[in-house]
Amino acid sequence: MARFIPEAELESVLSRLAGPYRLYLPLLKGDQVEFGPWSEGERPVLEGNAYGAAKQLFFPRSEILFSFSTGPDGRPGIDEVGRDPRPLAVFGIRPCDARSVKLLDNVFLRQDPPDSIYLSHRQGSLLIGLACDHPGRSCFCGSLGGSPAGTEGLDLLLTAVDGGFTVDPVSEAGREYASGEGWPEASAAQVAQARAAHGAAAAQAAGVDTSGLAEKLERMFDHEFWARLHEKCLGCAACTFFCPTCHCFDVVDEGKPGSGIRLRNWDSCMFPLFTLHTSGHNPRMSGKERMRQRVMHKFCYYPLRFGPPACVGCGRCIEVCPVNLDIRLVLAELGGLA
Amino acid sequence: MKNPYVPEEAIIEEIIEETAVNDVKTFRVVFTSEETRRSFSYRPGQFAEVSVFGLGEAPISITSSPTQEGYLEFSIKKAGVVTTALHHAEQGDRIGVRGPYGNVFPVEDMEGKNLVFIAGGIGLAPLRSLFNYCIHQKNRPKFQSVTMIYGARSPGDLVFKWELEKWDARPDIDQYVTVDRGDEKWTGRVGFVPAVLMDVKPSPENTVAITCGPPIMIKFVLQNLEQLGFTPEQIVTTLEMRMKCGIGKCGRCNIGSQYVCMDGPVFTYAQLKNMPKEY
Amino acid sequence: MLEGLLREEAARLLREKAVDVFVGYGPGSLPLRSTPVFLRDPAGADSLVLGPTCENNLTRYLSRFPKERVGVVVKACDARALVELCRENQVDRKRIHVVGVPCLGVISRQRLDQKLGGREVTGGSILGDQVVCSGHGWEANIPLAEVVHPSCAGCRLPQRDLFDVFLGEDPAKEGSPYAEVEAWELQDADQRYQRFSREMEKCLRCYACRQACPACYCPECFVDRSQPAWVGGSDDASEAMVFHLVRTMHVAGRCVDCGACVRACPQGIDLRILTKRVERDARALFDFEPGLDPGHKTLPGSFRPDDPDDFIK
Repeated sequence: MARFIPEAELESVLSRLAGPYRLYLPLLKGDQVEFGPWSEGERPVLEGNAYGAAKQLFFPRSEILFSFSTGPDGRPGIDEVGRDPRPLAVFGIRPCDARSVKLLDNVFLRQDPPDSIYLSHRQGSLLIGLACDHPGRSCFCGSLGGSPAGTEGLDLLLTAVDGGFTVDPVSEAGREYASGEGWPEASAAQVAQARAAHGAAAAQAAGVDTSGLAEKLERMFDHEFWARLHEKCLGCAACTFFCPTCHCFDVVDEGKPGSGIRLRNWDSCMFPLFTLHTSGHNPRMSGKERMRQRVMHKFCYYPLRFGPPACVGCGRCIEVCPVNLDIRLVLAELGGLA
Repeated sequence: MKNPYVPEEAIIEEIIEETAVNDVKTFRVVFTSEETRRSFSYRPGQFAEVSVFGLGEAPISITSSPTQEGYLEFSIKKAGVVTTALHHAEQGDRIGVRGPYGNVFPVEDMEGKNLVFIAGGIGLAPLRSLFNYCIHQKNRPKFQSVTMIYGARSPGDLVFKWELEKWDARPDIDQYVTVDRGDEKWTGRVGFVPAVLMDVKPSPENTVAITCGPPIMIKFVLQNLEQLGFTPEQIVTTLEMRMKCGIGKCGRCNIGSQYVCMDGPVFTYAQLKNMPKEY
Repeated sequence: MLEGLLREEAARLLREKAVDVFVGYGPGSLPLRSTPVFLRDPAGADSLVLGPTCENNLTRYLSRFPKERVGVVVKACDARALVELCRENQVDRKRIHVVGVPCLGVISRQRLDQKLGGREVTGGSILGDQVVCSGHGWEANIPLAEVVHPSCAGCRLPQRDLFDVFLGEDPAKEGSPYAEVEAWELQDADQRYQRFSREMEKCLRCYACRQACPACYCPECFVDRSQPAWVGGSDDASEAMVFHLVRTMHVAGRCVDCGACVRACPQGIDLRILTKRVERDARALFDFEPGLDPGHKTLPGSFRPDDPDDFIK
């Protein structure tokens, strides 16, 4: 049953969420919209998508795995980092980002052993999504099995309608939360308006045909295509850092011998160092191999292992690339190759 | 839930200097906790992440065999930050160990067969676990002939010399030790490992070849094994790869859809042939 | 008209096999963007574009073609970078066919976004000195001068003998190149540090700045060293500070203020608060301006007995 939140109620809805949850939502920071923690009176930005992906709430750019210090007896003591025990709630997450969290779950939680640090952010989290009414100029979620009103990964889906938002519960946790809130049932007209918005947005977010791509790529490792593709790539990590599904990381110690922290920091397959052996051997020695890895991992290797492609079509890599290397054009060209 | 990144404390019980220039040392380590000593159960082929707190951790194959109870052995070449720090460590120092990780040598499939081990340099370390497991009195009857072909650049680069002597003395092991270049004291075989393999000419009949070594040696060993009639399914190797997490998360060791840290490091040559050449 | 000349020149060079590859700009996939293209066939020359959307410094790519003869499109800023690359023996000038093009200044996407209040541009074109853009239910004409990249102020062309051909005339650029440095210096140390910290906190360490910079050609950057590790990888702003400060000093006297680093930065970090200051110092202390005279020695590679040394404490 769809429910309705009047626009005027939004503030109190957020305020109630913020008690039992660590509430994050898209906020204006400087010139950019970024996910940030909610505080009283803060208005979420409900147009467009957050500049940085929501993955950083579950998989921050830099995160302490544990700390250590050597005691006077020479024995290393290990301390786990204290974390706010409240689960995370993300308000206003777009369907593409919610879907990306499901893809991250495959790696961090489905492959044994589960990643307890990731799980500490993910366990009991409540993802309250907002359907896109105007997919952005780089959006192509429809090309990858998603949709501007997609519900995968969400607990609740909100859609902006006249005077407020319709609320569609998606998961059991979402249903429970909605019924606890006691939001009134949405009117037939409100539901109809939301459905119409979903339909109109979906038409804007398609673009590239990616069917059969994984199987095709499996046979394309030695294709000459890769020799040209990377030509303009500068080899920075902007695409991977802004990608909601890229999840590669480095593990490093900081501090002094015997006392410090072990961290994980975002890393990128676009960096030469990523695969460089201590011996000096590098299995992916040039930009060609690294760019191939990025495309292959998203559209071939990940799907072979987990099913769906590791791309949700959010378009961030397109927006941040310094040389305008557009993944939609890459996919279209791949699709056209025999 | 247990934090999978937290290592267990272990003490360096013994350090053996393996090579003449002292760039490889074998560390015998023992977990401090009685419970971990019992619960840390591994099989030949697996590796562990070895920590030096404050400097980081490195994936190292476990070179001891599960038949050697109560301790673990790691043979470590001095190369990066962590391995250099380990080379500076002393007996009694405390390090961190987490694991075991990765898949295992297909020991059950090897039963009833002839085994040919072909190793070069420090590449003997990961094979040694399986080798000692197979030649252990409890297990030796399960296998037919056991052959070891091992070589290094020079006599000083041979690792586990103390053990090679023991193996050589056993009548149920055919051992061929070779060096690329001898010195004034060396009276043994001189020649490259792939060439010695062709001299030994093991029959592929009911045989499994297990190989590990520098890439150039592997390349020619694989060629020669195929020339001898070995099928890719009969050849087993173990890969070295840059790794960080060891538990299939950080993405660094991916080769195609495989995670070397989970799906490997042990692969048959048949499997490798189906993977992208990115190792 | 200029685009026509460029296309003809590129097609001719490829057709006559005077170059193996021609590096220029093609139409981008986003409004008001262009993208580097690498042409090996004269037929592709028809896709070349020119104008204020050509924000990348193509000289960055020259070292990727160590054996081929390369034709390359250079604006004044790129030409200054090329002067330095030749002087530092990174580019063999004899292999490069330098096609100079006039430039009115390139668009700063950041400035444009600020001007538009963050509204998304879904369509755009350049009409004379106007940037015409549109989005969901709006249209706007913005004078190009108001959204050109800050590094375009006071931009200067190197000596003409650098170019094999120059298409048209480069218009004189207005504005003082050091206006920002002067404004920066009016602030007190606390204010400057706060601003610097704010910029550094944004850094994700994606290294787009370094990768886009023609002067950053080290085979191994100091941040990528592990023994010793000069810089940590965490998100602590102090790590970013070390990276950017060292990079700034490493390009001191070599940075030609092409602005490629700033335009590449996905976080909109104003790196020029560092590089421009060091550039001015080089000028003030050593009377040295990089990028203008192909016959000049490098700053770090030249010495005069009367060089000032009172900054060495």
